[in-house]
Amino acid sequence: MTYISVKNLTKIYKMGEITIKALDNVSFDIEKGELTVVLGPSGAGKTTILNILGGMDSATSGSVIIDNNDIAKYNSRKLTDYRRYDIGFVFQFYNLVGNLTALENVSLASQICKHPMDSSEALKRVGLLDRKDHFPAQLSGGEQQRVSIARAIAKNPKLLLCDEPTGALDSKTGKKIIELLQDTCHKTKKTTIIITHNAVIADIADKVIKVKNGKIESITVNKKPKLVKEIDW
Amino acid sequence: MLIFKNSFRKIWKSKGRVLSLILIVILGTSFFAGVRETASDMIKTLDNYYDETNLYDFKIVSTMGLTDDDIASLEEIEGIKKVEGTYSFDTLIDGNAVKVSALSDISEVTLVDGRMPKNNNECLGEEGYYNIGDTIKIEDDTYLESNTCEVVGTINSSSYIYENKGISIVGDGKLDSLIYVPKNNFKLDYYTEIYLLAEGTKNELSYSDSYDEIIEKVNKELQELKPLRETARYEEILKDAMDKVAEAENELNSVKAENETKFNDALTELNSNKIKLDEGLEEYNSSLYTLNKTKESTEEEINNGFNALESAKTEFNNALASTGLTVESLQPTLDTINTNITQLEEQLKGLDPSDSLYETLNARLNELKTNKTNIETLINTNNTLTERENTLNSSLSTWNNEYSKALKELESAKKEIDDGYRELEKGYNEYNTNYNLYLEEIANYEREINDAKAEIQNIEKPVWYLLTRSDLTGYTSFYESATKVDSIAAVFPIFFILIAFLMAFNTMNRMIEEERSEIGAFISLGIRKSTIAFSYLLYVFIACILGLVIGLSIGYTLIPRILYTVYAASFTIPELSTYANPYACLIIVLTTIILMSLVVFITLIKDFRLAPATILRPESPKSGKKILLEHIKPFWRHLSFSWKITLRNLFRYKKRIFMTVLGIAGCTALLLTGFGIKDSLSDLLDIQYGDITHYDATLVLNDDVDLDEVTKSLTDNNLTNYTNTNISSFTFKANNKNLDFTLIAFMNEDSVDDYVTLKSLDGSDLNLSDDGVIITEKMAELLNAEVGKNISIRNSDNELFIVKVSGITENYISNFMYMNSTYYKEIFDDDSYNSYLVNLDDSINKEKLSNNLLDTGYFGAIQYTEDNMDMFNDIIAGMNNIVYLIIAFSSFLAITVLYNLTIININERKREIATLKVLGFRDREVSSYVYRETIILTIVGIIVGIFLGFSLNTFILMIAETDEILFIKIIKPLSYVLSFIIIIVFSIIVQVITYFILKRIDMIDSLKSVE
Ligand SMILES: Nc1ncnc2c1ncn2[C@@H]1O[C@H](COP(=O)(O)OP(=O)(O)O)[C@@H](O)[C@H]1O
Ligand SMILES: [Mg+2]
Repeated sequence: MTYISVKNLTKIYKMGEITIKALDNVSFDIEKGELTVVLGPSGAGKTTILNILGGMDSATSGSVIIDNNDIAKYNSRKLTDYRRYDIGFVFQFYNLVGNLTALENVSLASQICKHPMDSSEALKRVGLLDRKDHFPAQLSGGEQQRVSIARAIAKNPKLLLCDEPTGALDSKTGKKIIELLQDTCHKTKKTTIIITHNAVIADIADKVIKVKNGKIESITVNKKPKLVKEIDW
Repeated sequence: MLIFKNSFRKIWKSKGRVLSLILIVILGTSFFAGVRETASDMIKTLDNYYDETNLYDFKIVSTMGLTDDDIASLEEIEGIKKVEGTYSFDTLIDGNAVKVSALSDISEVTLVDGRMPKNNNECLGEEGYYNIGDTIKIEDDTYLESNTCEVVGTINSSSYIYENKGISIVGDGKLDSLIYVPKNNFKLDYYTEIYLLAEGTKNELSYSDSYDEIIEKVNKELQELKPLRETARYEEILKDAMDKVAEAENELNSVKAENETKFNDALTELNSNKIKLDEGLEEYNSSLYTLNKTKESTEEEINNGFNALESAKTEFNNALASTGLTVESLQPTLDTINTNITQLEEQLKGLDPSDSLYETLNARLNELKTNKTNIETLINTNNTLTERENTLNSSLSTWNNEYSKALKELESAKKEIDDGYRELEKGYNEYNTNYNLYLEEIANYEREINDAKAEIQNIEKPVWYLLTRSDLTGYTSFYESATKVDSIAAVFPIFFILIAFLMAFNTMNRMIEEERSEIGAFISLGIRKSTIAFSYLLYVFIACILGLVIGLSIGYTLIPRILYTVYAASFTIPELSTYANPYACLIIVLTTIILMSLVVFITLIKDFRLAPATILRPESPKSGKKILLEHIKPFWRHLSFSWKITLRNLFRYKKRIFMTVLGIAGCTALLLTGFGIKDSLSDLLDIQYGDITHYDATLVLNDDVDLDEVTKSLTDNNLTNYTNTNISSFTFKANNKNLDFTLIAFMNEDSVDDYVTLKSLDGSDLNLSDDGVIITEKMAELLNAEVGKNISIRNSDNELFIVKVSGITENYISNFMYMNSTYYKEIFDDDSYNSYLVNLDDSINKEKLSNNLLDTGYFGAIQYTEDNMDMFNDIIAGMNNIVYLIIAFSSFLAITVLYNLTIININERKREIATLKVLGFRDREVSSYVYRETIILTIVGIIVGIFLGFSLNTFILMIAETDEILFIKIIKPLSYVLSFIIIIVFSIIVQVITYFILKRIDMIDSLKSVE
């Protein structure tokens, strides 16, 4: 069942005289519950895809049908609601609110959705329940990213979007984070998209979309995705 | 250098922040520079005006006029540049008191419209009172050759710049307008005034100490000359008067001499006439006497004749009777006898003698012969008697004729004499009348001469009044107004600029902190620290210099003009010339730049001290310690996240909070102070003249007037509410200055409350006591006096009196001392009164009343409380204007500060805000997340500001207070409310702006990198 259907998506950034075609006629489909990895070199257009999928940016042309709704046609208010109820985001730089504890950061997101997961439960999932009263400054990068993931899953989103979640972490910690994400995806059956430039990670995905210069290079479906434990970093 | 390019980019990118920084600098510097410069600009403008019009430095008027000799001796004084004698007089034209002056070179008039007069039939009228073409008719013809003139131009005079032109000796006592005529239209033989220009005063600023110094020096010289010239003038006048007396005496004497002989001659003639008449009368009398005597004797004689005749007649008649005959029968009898005789003789002839017959016949004949003889005798006798009677009768008639003739003669003579006497009497009467008239005339002459002599005795020595510019109402009032500006300007802008600096400091400080990682990157790249510092300095300088240039231009031009316009309403003064004070400019620019650089350095040095690696890492948020409130679990648990964030933010970033609160508090304080000053001023007049000294007018009595008559004239003018008082000017010494106050002694203390309300500072009523005075609050403060203490005061003759203070009364304007008649008598040994305090009916026409009362000649002056109010109103209007400016600028500053604080806040939180947006927070939710903090800080700021403002208000009023005015140090509830509302409204406006800024924050951009 096709959950996400991107068709002829083009994104052009205009910077004065210069126009940059960040995405050029991109089309792909993602099934519900699939773990998708978007691969590609820096500047390929991965983040742009994710931002558009996450309702943070608008498409120049093309359609982005998610759960039968074309979000490319949404206005900013509808996009806000879309982000509010349907999307869980994990950033490269965690973006936790410094003045809230781990638990509060999770609750911050969950309090505004319709069917949130219990915040402590979410923290427990990422294994940080014992640190729930700590502030981001008191946590390591990996721990912060885990809080960030807890915050994303606590919203019970339809779509979990992760933009280079391991980019700011050492490989060991990165691995743990990817493991957590795969685990979550499998357990909750949430459609998850992970962006990375690390090809190794591609092996754990159900589907791998390779992007290059704003174009889709290839879409491969992994019949047997590996577990994180099995891959070599 | 790329790093500077970075600076410029930064400026462009953070337009809002730079703009608010520039605005703050503009507001701070323009207000500071402008308000501080206003008084000096005002004074410079007026000084120019005075210089251009050659306003006199000294004016001399004398009680007896001034002469060319006076001018000559004044010209000899060192330090005098120019001397000019000129004329003026006050006269009533259509009921208005008008000063008619000669056009002079010193104290020139400024032609507003029209042209200068060309002849004596033309004149100039004051602008606003006369129009070109008006015809002026002056009733009093003592002064001018031509008393009618046509207005050919309108003018202003630098001597009369204030709407209150001072006093006039005519009309209701207030000078209304000015007229100028050519000097040679005056026909006086003395000058009424002399104008002086002192050497070097034009180079000095009027009102300045150096100007006063010159004036003081010349004044000393003038004071030395004054008695000499007074004496000289006295002697001159005395000589003139004595000459006149001598001349009059001579005249009298010659008149006397001339008339005396005339009268003497007349009298002599009259007298000699009288003698003649008397002689005539005597002659007449003696003639009459003689005549009467003659008449008597003659008549006696005649009577005797008649008597003798009568007796002879009787004898005759007897004889006759014996004969038996009558007078008529005598002749016939005789004739018969004669016939008988003849017959007998014939018979005898024939008869012999012997014949018996003969014998018989002879005997018969003899008998007949005897008879014949007898009859003949009788006839003779009868004839004689008849003759005698005839003689007697004729002599009687002759006499009678003679007598009546003589009598007639005498009578006519008498009539003549009587006429003569009547004439004489008339002459005497005439003489007497004339002589009496003459005597009266002479007596008059003599009296006049004596009076003149007495007057000479009484000729008072002329008194010179040496007047300076400060005796001009306008000159001083203007200075008062200007210094009122200064008194507020002295301190207020400092607080203003302080807040501006604080905000600029805050902005820079937080900007540098924000860009910590960038600085770290620069350092790690090996860029010199000085270069980095310079890149920030550049940022600051661009903002500051832009702000300074605009701020100083506004400050030096716009602000003085705004403040000046109010004065232009009550003063007739030229356009304001604005001056940029280069020293002040330099100081402001240097201070701003130095302070800003200091901010940059202080903030940077903290970073520079650290190793580049440390700087590169984001400053770890102040450790996630819990704030105190979190320990109150039930409370904390119920808070929403945004509240938790807000509270944590509030309590964690103390410096930031401090700055924000201080900024808002500062603006609130400034606003509140502005309103507070206005409050203090607005009720001042109403309280002073409505609640405290609430009488409507003061009538000052002239010396030696009949008090019954005065009372009558008061009744005639329907004045019933008045009280007898003794009002006089006194001085007391405080802070090494002699300060004036008015002593009011109530002769009838029962009525005090109707005119003045005496209330002690705690609000209780005060009563005049028999052994002490009540003084006003400010005076007590200046004298450091308390109830029961003695204070010393001096009267206008500098005599010292010691009085005991029995009470201190609430009072705000001017200083007063009140006492009752008992204590007054004890201290001054006097129980007379010299003035009335009066309450008027609302319906009374003041101008008419003044005219009526002044016409009686009993009153020297009539002062209406309302006029006093007007004067203070002008001063207060000026101060109010500053207050509006303060309020306006404080409002601007407040909005800028709020904007600045919010912008900084948003900049620091961009990432957090973007995160919230990504999480799906709506715009409203995102803004409220930012607002909450701002609102709390704003409210805290306002509360702090209200306390600050209260102190600031007290402080500024204390500094602005003069020896004359005590401010009511209250801030009305409305002012608190207004200050609160204004800040809140601005805060809301800023929130609206914030809303749109927040909306425009780009999530993707903000999330891209670590900060
Ligand atoms: N806001 C932007 N303005 C202009 N160009 C942009 C913007 N965001 C991305 N790009 C450009 O679009 C292209 C794709 O970027 P992105 O999707 O971030 O690449 P990546 O695959 O590294 O995530 C890049 O060439 C980038 O320069
Ligand atoms: Mg990317």
